[in-house]
Amino acid sequence: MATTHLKESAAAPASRVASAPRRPRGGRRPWAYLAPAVLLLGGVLGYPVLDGLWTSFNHSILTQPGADRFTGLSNYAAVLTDPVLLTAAWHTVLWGVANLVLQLVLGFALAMLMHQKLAGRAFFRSVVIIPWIVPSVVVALVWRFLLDPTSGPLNQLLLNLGLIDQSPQWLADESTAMPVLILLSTWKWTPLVAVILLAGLQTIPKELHEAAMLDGAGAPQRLRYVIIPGIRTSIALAGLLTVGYSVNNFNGIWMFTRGGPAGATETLTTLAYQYAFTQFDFGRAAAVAMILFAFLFLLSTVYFYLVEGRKR
Amino acid sequence: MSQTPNMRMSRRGLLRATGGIAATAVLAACGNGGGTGGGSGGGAKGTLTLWASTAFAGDAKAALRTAAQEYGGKQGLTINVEGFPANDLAKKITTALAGGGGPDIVVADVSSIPQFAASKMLVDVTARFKAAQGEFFAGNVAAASFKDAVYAVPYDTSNVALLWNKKLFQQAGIQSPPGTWDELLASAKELTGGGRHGYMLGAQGYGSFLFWPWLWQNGGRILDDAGTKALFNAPEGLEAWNFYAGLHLTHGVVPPTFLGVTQAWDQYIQPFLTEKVAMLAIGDWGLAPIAKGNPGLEYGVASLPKGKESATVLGGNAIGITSACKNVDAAWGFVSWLTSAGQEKVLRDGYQRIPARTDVGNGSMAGLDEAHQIFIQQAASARPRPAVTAWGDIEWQVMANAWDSVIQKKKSPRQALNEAATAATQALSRG
Amino acid sequence: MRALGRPLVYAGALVAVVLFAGPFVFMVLSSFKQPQELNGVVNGFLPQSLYTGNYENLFATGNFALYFVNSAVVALLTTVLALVVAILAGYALARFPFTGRRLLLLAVVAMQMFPAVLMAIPLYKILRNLGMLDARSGLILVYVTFALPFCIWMMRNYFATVPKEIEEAALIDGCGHFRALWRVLLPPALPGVTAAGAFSMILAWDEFLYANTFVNSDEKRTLSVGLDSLVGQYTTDWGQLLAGGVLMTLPVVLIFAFLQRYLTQIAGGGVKG
Repeated sequence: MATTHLKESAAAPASRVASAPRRPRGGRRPWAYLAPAVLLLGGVLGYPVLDGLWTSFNHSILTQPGADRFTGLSNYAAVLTDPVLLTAAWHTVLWGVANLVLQLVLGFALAMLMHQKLAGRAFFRSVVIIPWIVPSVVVALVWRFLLDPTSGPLNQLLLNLGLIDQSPQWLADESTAMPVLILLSTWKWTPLVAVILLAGLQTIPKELHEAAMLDGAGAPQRLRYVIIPGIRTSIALAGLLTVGYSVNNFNGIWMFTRGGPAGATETLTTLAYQYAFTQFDFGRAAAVAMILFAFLFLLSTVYFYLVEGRKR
Repeated sequence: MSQTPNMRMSRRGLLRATGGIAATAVLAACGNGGGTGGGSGGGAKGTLTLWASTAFAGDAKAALRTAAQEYGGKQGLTINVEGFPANDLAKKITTALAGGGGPDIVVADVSSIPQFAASKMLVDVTARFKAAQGEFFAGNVAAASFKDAVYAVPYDTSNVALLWNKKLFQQAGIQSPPGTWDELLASAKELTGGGRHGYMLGAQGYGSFLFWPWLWQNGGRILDDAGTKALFNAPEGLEAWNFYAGLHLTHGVVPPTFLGVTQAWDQYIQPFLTEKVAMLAIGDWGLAPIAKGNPGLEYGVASLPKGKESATVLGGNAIGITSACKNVDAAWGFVSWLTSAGQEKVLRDGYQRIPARTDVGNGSMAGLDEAHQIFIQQAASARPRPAVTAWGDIEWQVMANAWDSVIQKKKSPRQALNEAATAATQALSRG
Repeated sequence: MRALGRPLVYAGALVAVVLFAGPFVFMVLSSFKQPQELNGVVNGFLPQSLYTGNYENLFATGNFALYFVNSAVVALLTTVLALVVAILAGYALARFPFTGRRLLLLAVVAMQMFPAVLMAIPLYKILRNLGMLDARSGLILVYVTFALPFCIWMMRNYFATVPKEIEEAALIDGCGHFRALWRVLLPPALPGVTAAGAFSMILAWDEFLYANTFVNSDEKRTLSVGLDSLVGQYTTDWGQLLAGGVLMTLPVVLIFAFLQRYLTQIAGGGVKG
């Protein structure tokens, strides 16, 4: 939806920079600004990714030292024929899409609330971002407490309200484990999405709102023609981030269910972990990681061309 | 905005400044690291690094630390003891050693020793250990060995027994803990009702670990002697598996919340602590949390009920010297001292644990409470799990998934067990 | 934006507070419970009494205060360095056309997508070669890099929204690009800086996997790892863990409470000016 407003959006002048009269035409100047970032990204992120790519083409099993050798695509063949992979891939898609939709919708609503002139706004803004601040280690602990089937306050509350008549085993039941984990991940990460969107909302000039009001635009119109186009890039950034981070969110699953019950929350990330650290087969683990990475890379590219427009 | 003289230097200055940031100079300056290589790989002569789980090295006053200091003081050695959460320890050791660093000495769960050994991460200590080998339980030595070589010295030993709630038994009019499978089932049925259940089980890896005694009690075996083929789905195995799963599936004597026991022994013990469950099978590691969590709980400890024979599973930790160690002689000196007859007090007084030494039956463990005594008696006959590379995969992946698919009613017990056997044999073939 | 009815807004805010802060309040309450209340032997939503033993134990048994200092140092330096590097890079990406710009942008977006779990061993090797294992510097290096894609992207987007004319006016006034960046472009982009700074800081504060992999000595551990080491193999002191969680969360909440008010004011001024 965001892309249709590309041309008329006031908030995205970046794509028109090309025509500007720049004195020394690009030249070395941008690279001076970029050097630290490129060095760090290339060295600390780029090298491990290339290392992973190379490992995925090798027989590399820790418990067989000295047996490492190039084996082409055989790791890929092995993992692609593993029946678990298909289920894990499906769970990954489900997990990514559900997190994306929930976090964007709720994050937008939260950002709108944070943007309001409320009494006690500072308090409100600092309190609702708590889940994002609470460390993952602690999140797992608190929620396992809250969700405990017998002694957890959530079930006791639901029982007292008469909403349920017997205690559900949220994390131990095949049918609820995945939805519950998705909700927990949404709880933890929605504040981040809200902060990104709030930062976007704050850049919309007040004049635009006022002009729209004068034109007699109602709330839905302003949402559609002022707010959403105004934070288009923020929405896109938050969306991409949500998909990327939730798909790679290992702790959010492992600390609760370890991929269970009966594989109901197994994703490509937990699968790669198991290949690496219970089977010590780093070749296959890297192959799973590369498959996931290729998919996310594709998504980034699509995002990039949609958001950055069809310049040139 | 006024023009300033430093405009001119801005580009060059910027280059330099940014280069400086990216280079590690700034970063290295702000940490106190650098140089030393971070205590990895032994470092200078006279310094040893030991990694253990937080169960052994959890706080500054841990007995293992004190012992290391005592020995180090005598020998002019510095022995650094670092503790890590048990769930992370094996991964942490693996990552560090694979990355070229790591500690000199590790205190690790015996079930992870074969994998370390196969990865050539531990030093073969067969020759050094020979003289003292007879002082240790054969089962613990076997568990710390791989392909006829010993890679670690047994430290503590543990095994599984039955804990039973005296009050609940009395209320149900049952005099003594069950001695056989049939008695167990009958008692469990009696004890179930009114929000309480008779027996406790675990999910995932907790379920598979606690299955082995049942398998052995029914005359079954986990693997063949060569360690190349899974045998646990033979008729005796299937019968034991059916009985084990039937406690939940057929008889409902297990609280349904056991499906959530996937992370820690705490979760497994909790219903017993709160008197929602009357019996559970657990090792001596369960005693301390019970004493702490519900000091008033009246319970007894008995051997596991018998099937065709009696059997319990052996666990514990062993101490190995890593391939990163540059001073194996010094490390061995410490390891042999720590596991010697004079030092059983570290385990006994510091951790209420039982040394894997055959002389524990001689009264040296009298200081431990009565609840521990049955575990001490069982130490000699407890059976080790197979020392194969793929063990972690078989127990915590293959069998854990099979058990989960049974208790989640996704597969029949027979189908799950047969598939697990095929998968286990396949895992064994990978080496 | 007075379109939403006031009562509706306050109702929404209330729901949000309960949903997002409720579990934390529960955590604070539970941190004052005694062991018997925590393991379910005694049940109750409120603690029976204000038991402070969990907090006392936390400081008595371990290096908790030290973990705290380590986390603070790592988070602070990570935030500052990541912001400086990201502001420079974001500026270049927003304002200069150059060959490879689009590829670089794409690379920045995509690179953060590699599963973190599998980067542990190659990163371990890098840090070992740099002599930065078991040191705060190693963690800072890794965290700055992991925070960069988000921060760069954020800064670039913000700089792009600042009208070019403002910057050109400054350039004509004789400001260099570098000064124009700090004086003219940065103030209106402050909401972005805040968000990027908050992101970096929380990333460093929260991170567990690498802190656990690259640090060995107890006295160099960060809070995440220090707290996790309270999770025992056979027994876990939930009370200490909850107390530690509260202490780990509260300061950041307070810092944010303070900063966000302050920074919103600047941001408001920046947009007007």
